[in-house]
Amino acid sequence: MENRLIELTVNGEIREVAVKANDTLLEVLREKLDLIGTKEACSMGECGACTVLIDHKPVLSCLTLAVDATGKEIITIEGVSSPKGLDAVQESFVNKGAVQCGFCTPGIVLTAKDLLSRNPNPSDEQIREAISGNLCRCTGYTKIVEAIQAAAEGGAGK
Amino acid sequence: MNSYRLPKLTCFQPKTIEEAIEVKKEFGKDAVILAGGTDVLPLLKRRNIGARTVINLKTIPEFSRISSGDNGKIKIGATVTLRDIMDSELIVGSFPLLVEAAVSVAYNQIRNMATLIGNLCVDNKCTYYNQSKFWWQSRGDCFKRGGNQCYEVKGGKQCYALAVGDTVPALIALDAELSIIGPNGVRRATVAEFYTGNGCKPHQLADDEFVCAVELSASSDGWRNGFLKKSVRGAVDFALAAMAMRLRPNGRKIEDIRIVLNGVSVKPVKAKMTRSYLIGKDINKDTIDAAVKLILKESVPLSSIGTTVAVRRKMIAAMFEDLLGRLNPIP
Amino acid sequence: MNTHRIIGKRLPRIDSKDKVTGKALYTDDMSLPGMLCGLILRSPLPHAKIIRIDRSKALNVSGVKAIVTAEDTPKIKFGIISRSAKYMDEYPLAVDKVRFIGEEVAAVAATDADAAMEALDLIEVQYEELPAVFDPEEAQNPAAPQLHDHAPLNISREYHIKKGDPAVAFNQCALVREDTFTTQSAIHAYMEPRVALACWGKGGALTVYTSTQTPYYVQQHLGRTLDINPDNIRVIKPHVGGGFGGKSDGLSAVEFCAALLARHADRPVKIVCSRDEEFAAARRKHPVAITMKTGVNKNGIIVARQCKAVLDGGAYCSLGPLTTILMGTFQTLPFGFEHYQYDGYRIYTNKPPCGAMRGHGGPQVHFAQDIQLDMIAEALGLDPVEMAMKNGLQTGDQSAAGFKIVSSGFQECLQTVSAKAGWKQNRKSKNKPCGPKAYGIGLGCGGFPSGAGFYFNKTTSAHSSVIIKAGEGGGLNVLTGASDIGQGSDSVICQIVAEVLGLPLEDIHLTSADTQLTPPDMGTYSSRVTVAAGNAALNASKAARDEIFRIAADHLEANPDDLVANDRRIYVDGSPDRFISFADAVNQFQKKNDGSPLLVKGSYNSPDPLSPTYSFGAYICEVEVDLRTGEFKILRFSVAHDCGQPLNPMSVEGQIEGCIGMGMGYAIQEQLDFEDGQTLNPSFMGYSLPLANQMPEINITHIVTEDPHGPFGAKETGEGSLDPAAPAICNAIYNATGVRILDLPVTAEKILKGLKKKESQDGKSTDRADRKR
Repeated sequence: MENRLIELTVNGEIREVAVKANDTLLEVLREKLDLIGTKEACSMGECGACTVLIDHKPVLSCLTLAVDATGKEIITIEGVSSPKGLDAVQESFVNKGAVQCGFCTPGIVLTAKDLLSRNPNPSDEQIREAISGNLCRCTGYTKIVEAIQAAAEGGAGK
Repeated sequence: MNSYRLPKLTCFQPKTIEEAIEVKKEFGKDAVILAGGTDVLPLLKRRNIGARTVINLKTIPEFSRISSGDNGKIKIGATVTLRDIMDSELIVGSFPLLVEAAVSVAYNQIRNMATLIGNLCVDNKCTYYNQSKFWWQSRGDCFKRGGNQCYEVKGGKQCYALAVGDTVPALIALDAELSIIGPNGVRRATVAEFYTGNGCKPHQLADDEFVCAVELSASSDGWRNGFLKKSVRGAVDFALAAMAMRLRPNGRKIEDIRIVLNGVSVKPVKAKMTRSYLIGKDINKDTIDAAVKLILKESVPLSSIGTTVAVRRKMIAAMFEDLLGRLNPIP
Repeated sequence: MNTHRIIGKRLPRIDSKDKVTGKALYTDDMSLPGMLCGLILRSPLPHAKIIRIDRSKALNVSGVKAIVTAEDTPKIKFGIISRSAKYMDEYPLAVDKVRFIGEEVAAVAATDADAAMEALDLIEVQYEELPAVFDPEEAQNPAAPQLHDHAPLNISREYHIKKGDPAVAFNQCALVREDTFTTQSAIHAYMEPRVALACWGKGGALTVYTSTQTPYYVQQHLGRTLDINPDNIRVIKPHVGGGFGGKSDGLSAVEFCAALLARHADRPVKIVCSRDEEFAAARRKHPVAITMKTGVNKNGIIVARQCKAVLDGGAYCSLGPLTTILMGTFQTLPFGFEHYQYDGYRIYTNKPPCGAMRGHGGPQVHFAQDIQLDMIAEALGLDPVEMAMKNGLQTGDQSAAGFKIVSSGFQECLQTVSAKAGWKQNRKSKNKPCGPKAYGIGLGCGGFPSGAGFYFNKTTSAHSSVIIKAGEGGGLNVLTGASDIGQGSDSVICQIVAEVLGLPLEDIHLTSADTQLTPPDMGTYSSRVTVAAGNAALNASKAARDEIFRIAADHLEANPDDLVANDRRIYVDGSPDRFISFADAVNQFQKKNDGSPLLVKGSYNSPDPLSPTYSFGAYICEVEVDLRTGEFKILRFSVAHDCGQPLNPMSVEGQIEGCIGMGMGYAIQEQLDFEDGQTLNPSFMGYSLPLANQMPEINITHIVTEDPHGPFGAKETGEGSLDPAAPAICNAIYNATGVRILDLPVTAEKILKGLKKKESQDGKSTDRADRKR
């Protein structure tokens, strides 16, 4: 159970961090890199709250070993907005009332960003399919789907 | 941090196939293969398996390839994800049935991580076995944990954990072949013969072996393909029943047909009797009714994970009807 | 007409930017120097004596800093309803006995999770297993195992209502139906697991950050169970990832163990529950068997109701004694009847304790009521909407349980929703089988109190209070004990203050739910926050406005009554050019008062001990059923909801949509399965929350009524919207298939069974043979 020093590329920055073989990427992001925007809700890959983008694809950081994430490009929710302001998807979530308790929000925003980058004009059904692995207990998903639709209409995926 | 933490592990990141074989040989069943990780990490977190060594295949570049070889075969490596399958022009063009099945597995994020071969090697599932260490303190071990009872089928004399890989019926229907690697080199097996029917050890795989590739022959003309999955909440849930069908019609007659099921029993079901019956038959209500009876007879669905035998039987019948209707619409 | 600037507008919530960027801090996002990782050891047995706990081996694990058991506690019981000692039946760490699988027995704190887990495995607990009872009927047998000495026959609570004489009234009815309905065990499944972070100051003050709906109660009950003055305890609620009633118990072992471990280790301790701990041991909704008897006259007017409810309570009280009452009272909404008898019994069993869950007793009894009324309407040849219209409570009415209706838009809800859903046409034209698929449409109705009018403990505090302090720059600090757990109360309170004082939202700076800074508030439950905390905010804002207007009146040489506040200015109505800025007014106030800050307060107590006012709603659901497999799809929900004046329509819709999601899950797929007291599906794969791909189209119409009690006329929306969902779905499925489901949840299996039964019955008698297929 030696600590191993690894390099992770997170939100465009190279971060050197000591990890154990049984540390998940989620644990390292939250506890060693202070990137607490990524949430832990089930730890078993059953809820989507810990979604991050690895090499531009949404994946579950709770089922990713930290040592297995080296050499890849990791984007967390902290890497979506800039000091200048919110990303178009985030803006749309705010304006459409898609956020309630907010615990599922970072994971869904990242999932939606990936969807729009692949498919700038998704149908209602395609949006629902894309986020069907992200549990939300507050919203009934209605306003989340509307927000993603509105972001697409505003050109967020282009 | 909560109690769902991985146990202390040793993680090997081999750079070559030989290195991976070497580690697997040394540790045997104490080492698990990590590709997508979506099945194995929960098993480790819940302490369902005793292995504490992980062999990460993702560090071996050749495993991540989809390649077309001589003799027109397409080879899919051990770390090719379901998303890669969905995105591969080669697969989309030649094996839409496999794509349809891959899309029906779990959800977006999982498909980006989980591998096709991982879906073939996914452990059998059951309401009881896949529980945490704390949970198991309340009762005696089941067969799959080394005990001598089955909770899923009360009084059962064997393990009745279900085979659940959604892509398996498609691959069997496509006559896919596996490359299994071990200290003595590569051996080949059809996907159909890879499953033991023993819930405790569902795969024909020695402790020092692992699956390194799956090969598909170019699909021949005249076949129509379809896949359906029944579950409570769409793709996300494990199948209550999944069915792949390939059909070569000749007018109203069935020239050839393949029907394969998964998610209904301890191993995938290749509906051989149904096939023999249907070949050469007209598609009409009588033949459909007779075929449904045969499918139900040879699939022997179980009552577990989410539904009962009665519902599974009705679902299988409805899927058969719907797929047949889709592949060969009766005018 | 809404002439407000901020009230009634579709405004983004004040915390949503932090939440979409990952900046919002939840308890698990916080850490303190030297913080330890805490874990809880739970009972693997449903009923047992604790003979001995040996922690010596566990203490030897490197990194372990503290292990606590009941021996380290003052052994004082608690219970959220502390008005009666009988309802305080639980120790935060088990003393001598455990009564359900998952009960907290010990806790460990270590420098890292690996060490804490290793230590947890090494704590040796010797149990003597006792016979256990899991079924509430069996538990009432005198020979059954007894869970608590104070509760013979395991009756945890009984509650009776009698009004008029139903027995006599039934004899005069044209139609009387009696049916038994059963509902399953369901759970909140909030996304953020329970978590607490505790630390002690050297002076003996305790600070606890916790994911709770009720910080005030946590403070009180922590004080009680640790035997210290609650005023020494500061409970802070950071952002909370949902609660739905599951974090409203006043105290959980998570908070208690974190505090106790932190004291023993002399270091901060954080405990986070894993998802299986949440599913296996957290509070949940009561399963209940309801025998309902309803009599109507020939016109379909409800005359009498008799109801018996047997609640499976689990091992401890939690909020269950109240649930037992509410199942009796909530079924008197939204319909009126003269004669009523209710007999509720809550029974202890060796299962995890049941408490409050969104709707708190309402979803269970509304499921029964609306299905039974649908059956009665059919038997009388009446349209269910028309029958509901006749029976609905109107403004000025009083329900059979004494709810005084001060505003009701129920009839308007029915009219609107049936028109929007095409009720009459669709019920006639679409309701014909099409291949293997059948279409159905059904109605569900609801009414719900806007907050309870009482505390659970004895206190002199107001139900809600708000303090406002003005800054030199003209901005306001608003302090409220109200707890936003995701429903948006922080935003609504800011909207109210901004509206009254003519300020933009960005000038309002809110601090909520910190027991050291903010005044007491009952917390987030019983749909009370908008009305209670909203009124407190309104009262405080008016007090601030009075002070400011007095200054401004002097300055402008005007009468304070003629002034208005708008756009950061105070001026005489109609003359906006001659003004004093809000900031100047604040500074003048300070000058006149020797620099003393402009500090005002407002509070609110419900004028009625039951509730100040009630919301109403009518929902129509459309479904499509596959008659071959019993599988079905929910096509559409049409909703009309009367929450008075929606303060933020976007938030109101969010509540309704969320309620439909949760209500749909409850109706069709959520169920905790048990075997010998053990939860069989403690995971998100096992317990099926609705997913995005399952949710139907939802069309919402706000029915605006002017409520005399609500702030700006607002009423509740967060719970009442749940009640109609399940019966609307069940009635639609009946309409499609002719199969009545009286036992939740509705599954393909139950529909298939019903279809089969119907087939064999149809074979025997031809009277309904043409109904379907």
